[in-house]
Amino acid sequence: MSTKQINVVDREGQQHVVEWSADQSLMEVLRDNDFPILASCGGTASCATCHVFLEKEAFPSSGDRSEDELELLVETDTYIENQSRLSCQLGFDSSGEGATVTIAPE
Amino acid sequence: MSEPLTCPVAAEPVEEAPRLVSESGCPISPSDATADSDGEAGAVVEHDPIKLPPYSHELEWPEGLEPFKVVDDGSQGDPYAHYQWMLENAPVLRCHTPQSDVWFITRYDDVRKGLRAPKVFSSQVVDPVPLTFLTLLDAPNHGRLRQVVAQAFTPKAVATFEDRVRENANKYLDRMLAAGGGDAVDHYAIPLSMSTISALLDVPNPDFDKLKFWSDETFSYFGRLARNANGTGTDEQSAFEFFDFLKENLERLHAEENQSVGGQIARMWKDGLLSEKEAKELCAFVFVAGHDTTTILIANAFRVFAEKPELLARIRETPGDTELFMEELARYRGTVQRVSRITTGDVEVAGVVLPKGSVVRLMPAAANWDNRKYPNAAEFDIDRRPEGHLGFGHGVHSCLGAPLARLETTVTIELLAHRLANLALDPTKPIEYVRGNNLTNSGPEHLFVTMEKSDA
Repeated sequence: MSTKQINVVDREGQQHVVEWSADQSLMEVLRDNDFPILASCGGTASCATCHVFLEKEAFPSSGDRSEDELELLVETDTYIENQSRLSCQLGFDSSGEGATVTIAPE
Repeated sequence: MSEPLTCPVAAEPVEEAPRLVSESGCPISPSDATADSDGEAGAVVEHDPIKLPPYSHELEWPEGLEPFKVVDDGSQGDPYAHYQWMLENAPVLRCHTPQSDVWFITRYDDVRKGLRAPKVFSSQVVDPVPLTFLTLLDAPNHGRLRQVVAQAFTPKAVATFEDRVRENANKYLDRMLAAGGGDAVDHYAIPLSMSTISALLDVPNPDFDKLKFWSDETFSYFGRLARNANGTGTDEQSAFEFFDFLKENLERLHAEENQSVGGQIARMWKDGLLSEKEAKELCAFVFVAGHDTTTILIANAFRVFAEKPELLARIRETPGDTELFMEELARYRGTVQRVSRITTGDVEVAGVVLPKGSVVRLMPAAANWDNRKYPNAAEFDIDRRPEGHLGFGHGVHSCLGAPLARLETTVTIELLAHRLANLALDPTKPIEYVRGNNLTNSGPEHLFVTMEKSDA
């Protein structure tokens, strides 16, 4: 199975290198590596508790946000139009090797 | 409480996808902002005074169907006939109670929107919150406390229990097979789900019946405090005995530096991140919620196989279809029937304006039977692939234990298919349904089956 490494910046600003397998969403990568994301809804784009920021340059290639995803993101206090995503909606192909993902504040 | 009313819902069901509209016009968050003036979607509802629809008991229900009630008197054990009528005739149903009106919302789009809008449909229906049960909390406390236990219920964490679940499931099924059948609830589903959650929390299980009693009583206590249920008369005393038992266990787990989720709760308590009350009640919540809902879902798996025994062979020959069975089961006969909320502003649902402060029940099991979303919804169709079903909820309060429930139920589906040639409901013992005290779940309380061993 294909894998790649990405950089995750936690809520304290610390950077971590983690492995992403092709069968995982980004939310699953974060959760399985014990980052404190709640991911309450389990990946159905219905709760906004797995909010992350992508790098501005990488954002356009991450794919379109669905109406459901956008509805939740804009309701958060920390929404950034050209960086915010729900990590449960990001599949393996949404980011490249070495990409940096920042976990949004709670 | 009995003013003459017009009922746009009962008389003229609204067909278009409904919308929630708060005082501010924001579809998902109310505020005190002034009205929009353009009349576009999202505009403030003009309602002076708000016209309320008739009560459930004032509606003409079909012959043989009692008016739907807040507290089941025995006519709603298997509530789907009520749901089917409500979906078509009263998708926003108002019921009278001495304490307040209670609104039942059944259509898929409405329930889904409600579950996605916790700022409008608040979970904090009782203030101050009487128990540290996640279902009673809004942000930020909901997130803070859910985070304590969330890591224990991820699919990855739960998968480590699969061998134990399979071993226990085989043991309980062995006994039933030896007897030619039995009660799928008492003889299989309860022991399986309780042994699993006991292991996960590391709660000692020397007196199974007592633990089950405490658990049921605590759920009744919750129902009385938070859902206006009648209670049992002994629920408070039993719940406090259970909390004391769990506190002692947390002390043990802390001393042992235990790595279970129970040990995690104990550490957070001793580190000052949780109060004693929060620690023992959160433990109780995980225990109760961790087995009661799963018990019913597992029993319903037996029921579906009994109604469609040909599926035994299908799963046996095509094990990959187990997941299809699992998800359709959660849609077709999920456990949680009523999700309690209170509105934080005036909200329009299916053409009916619910005033601020309305006590609401979002009805996921009814929504899963909405033909607008799932054609021929009253049929169990293993090939349906029911994307978006609400069998484990939706939104920030989605079922914490869904991965564990899926694991236990999936193992059960596989075992029944692999080991049984036939499964049937016992014609001499009708299904008995859960009813009453917690006002949340419905399903079999006793489901007697006969079974034949497979030679395969």
